[in-house]
Amino acid sequence: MRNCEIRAALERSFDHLVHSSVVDDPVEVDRHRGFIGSHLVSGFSAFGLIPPALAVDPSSAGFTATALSILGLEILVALFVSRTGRLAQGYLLSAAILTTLAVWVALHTGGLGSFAVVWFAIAPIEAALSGRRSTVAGAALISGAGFLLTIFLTATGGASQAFAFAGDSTTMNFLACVVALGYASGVAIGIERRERATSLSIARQEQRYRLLAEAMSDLVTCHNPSGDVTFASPAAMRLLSVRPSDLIAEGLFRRVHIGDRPAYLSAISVALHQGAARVEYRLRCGDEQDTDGWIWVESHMRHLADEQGDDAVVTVTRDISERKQHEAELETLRADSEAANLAKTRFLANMSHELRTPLNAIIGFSDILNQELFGKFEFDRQREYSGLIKESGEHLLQVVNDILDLSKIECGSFDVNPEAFRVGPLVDRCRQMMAPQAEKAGVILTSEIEPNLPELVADPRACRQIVLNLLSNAVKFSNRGGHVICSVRRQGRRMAIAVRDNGIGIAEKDLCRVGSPFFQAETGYDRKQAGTGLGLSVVKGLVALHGGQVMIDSDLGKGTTVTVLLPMQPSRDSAEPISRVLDVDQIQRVARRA
Amino acid sequence: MAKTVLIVEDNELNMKLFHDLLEAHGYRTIQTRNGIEALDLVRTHRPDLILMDIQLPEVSGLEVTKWLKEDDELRSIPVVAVTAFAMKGDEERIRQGGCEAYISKPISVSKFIETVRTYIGDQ
Repeated sequence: MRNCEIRAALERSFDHLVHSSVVDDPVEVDRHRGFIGSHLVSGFSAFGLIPPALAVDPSSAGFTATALSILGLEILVALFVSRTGRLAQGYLLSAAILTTLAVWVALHTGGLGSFAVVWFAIAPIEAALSGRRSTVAGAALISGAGFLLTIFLTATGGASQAFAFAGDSTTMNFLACVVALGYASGVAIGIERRERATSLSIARQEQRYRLLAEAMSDLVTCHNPSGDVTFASPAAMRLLSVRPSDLIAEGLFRRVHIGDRPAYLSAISVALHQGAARVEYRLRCGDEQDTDGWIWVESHMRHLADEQGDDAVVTVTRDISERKQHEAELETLRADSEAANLAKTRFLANMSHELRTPLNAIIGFSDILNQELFGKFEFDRQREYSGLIKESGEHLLQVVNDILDLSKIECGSFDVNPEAFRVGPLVDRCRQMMAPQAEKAGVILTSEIEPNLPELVADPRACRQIVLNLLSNAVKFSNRGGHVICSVRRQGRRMAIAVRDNGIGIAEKDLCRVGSPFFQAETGYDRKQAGTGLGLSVVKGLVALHGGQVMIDSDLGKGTTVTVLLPMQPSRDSAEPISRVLDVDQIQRVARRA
Repeated sequence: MAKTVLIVEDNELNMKLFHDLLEAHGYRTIQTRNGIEALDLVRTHRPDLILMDIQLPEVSGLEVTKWLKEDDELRSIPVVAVTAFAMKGDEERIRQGGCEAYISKPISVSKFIETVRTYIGDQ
């Protein structure tokens, strides 16, 4: 146990020497680490042995020091692999060093008969650790060349017995063989260990991929260029309740809904030629004869080259039945609301028609009575009452018109047709139209138009209605002898149309609700003023349609000023969504404390 | 001799209103509540003006106006549409249908008489 810990710690200490290009592959990391570690250790050990060797036998100092120095070069090889990540070259360099060492030692210890000759076999064996045939061959070549060189030099008398050790050669050969055997065994164990680690790592990776494929609810399939399935992931069971093998070749295609087959095939073709495609289609689940088990799926297809370099398409298919259902529900809702809107418009047109028809009789006949076309009234009360009938009829008509306008604004069918016109004359005409009502109420009506105003681009019909409604409200909520002023002035890039009265005013608590349909600030049975509160709602809606603003400034008992700000030019986004037109927040409220 | 106005109107009360008004101002009236009958009445009586309600049972006032305006002999008779349609675009649609004038319900008595006088040629 303790041994393992030390080894692991040692291995870890070499980890940072492994080149960054291999860190993602655990098998390669193991190889590099083993190479760098063993070569550093052998290199440093060789250098470390030089002083004691010199001390033991000073007579062979030159020979021994050179031999150990050659082995010491392994440090450089280790650093080379660490810096470049080229393990194959590292093995070849190492083979060259070992061969050089064997040649050096053999030539000084009796040539071909030397105990060192057996070492020539070590270089190719070590190269086997690289796991590459070409490296082993290269190492064998280098080693063989060294061996041949030794034979040649021995034959030509280049070898010497200078440092042949004392004792008989049999013992020396035996020792050298034991060293070589030990080394070869170590290498063999290393190879075996690495092999085991490799297969373990592969098994682990495979297990991981299988887990991934099984855990994924999306079906992964590979297709050849003709669309046949060559691989299907285990998710086939989850998605379609069939085994992956059932989808191979034409198995998947047969499950595609006939109506969706052209789209499916063309998506594969698009993916092949353009790199990627997306398609939605219906797939049959479970038994092929089952005609009810359709699900909506979405496939993302991608062009890839498979292991052989042939064209292939990888497809990820996902169940989108739920989304399709939501889409269908949304579509139904949209159609329903459209139908409801149409019904509402039709209803409004009918209601308007049905209300106007009797109103025609009410207003018309009372008008005839008022004009005393068929004879004078006997009593003043009769004239008064017929006048009241006509007035009420006209009021009812106004209500019908306002409701109609408001509904049209709310449902977005109120068309705004902007054109350039001068506001001054429009306000003057409105003032004239209101004059009789003002006179009757004993209210003075004046206008203040700023000179040299530019033309306003807006819907003149809507503007006239805005001004008329504001004037009508101002007169309505003024006391006898009151004063209503309509002023128009330029305010930056907007036109400010303000109607000021010195009437009853609005309490602060009511300000926020002013402008809501059917709201009048003074509620209760003592309500003095007729009206529905629709007028200001219509103003609000019309102003919002122009992208403008309504501001109310009021002082209870002292009067109210309503200011409408309209952009000089209609902006593109001025067409407000219907629901927001009558949002209470559209009105900016300013209340002064009374 | 008093000028004649044909009133095409399906509402009893409105018919009476128009009739009484016109009579009070010295016009003779012919009445019908049916578009097809209106065409026959125009042919036989040759009125000086037609007051045409647009929403009628069976055939719409616009359709009747179209027939009238397609007839070379009847084309010159002015048609004044009187209708409770007050939606945007209604007036335009009615004028395009060949009507000379348009009065929306509810009427104002004085405006009504003024319009009739203008198109009948009394002013």
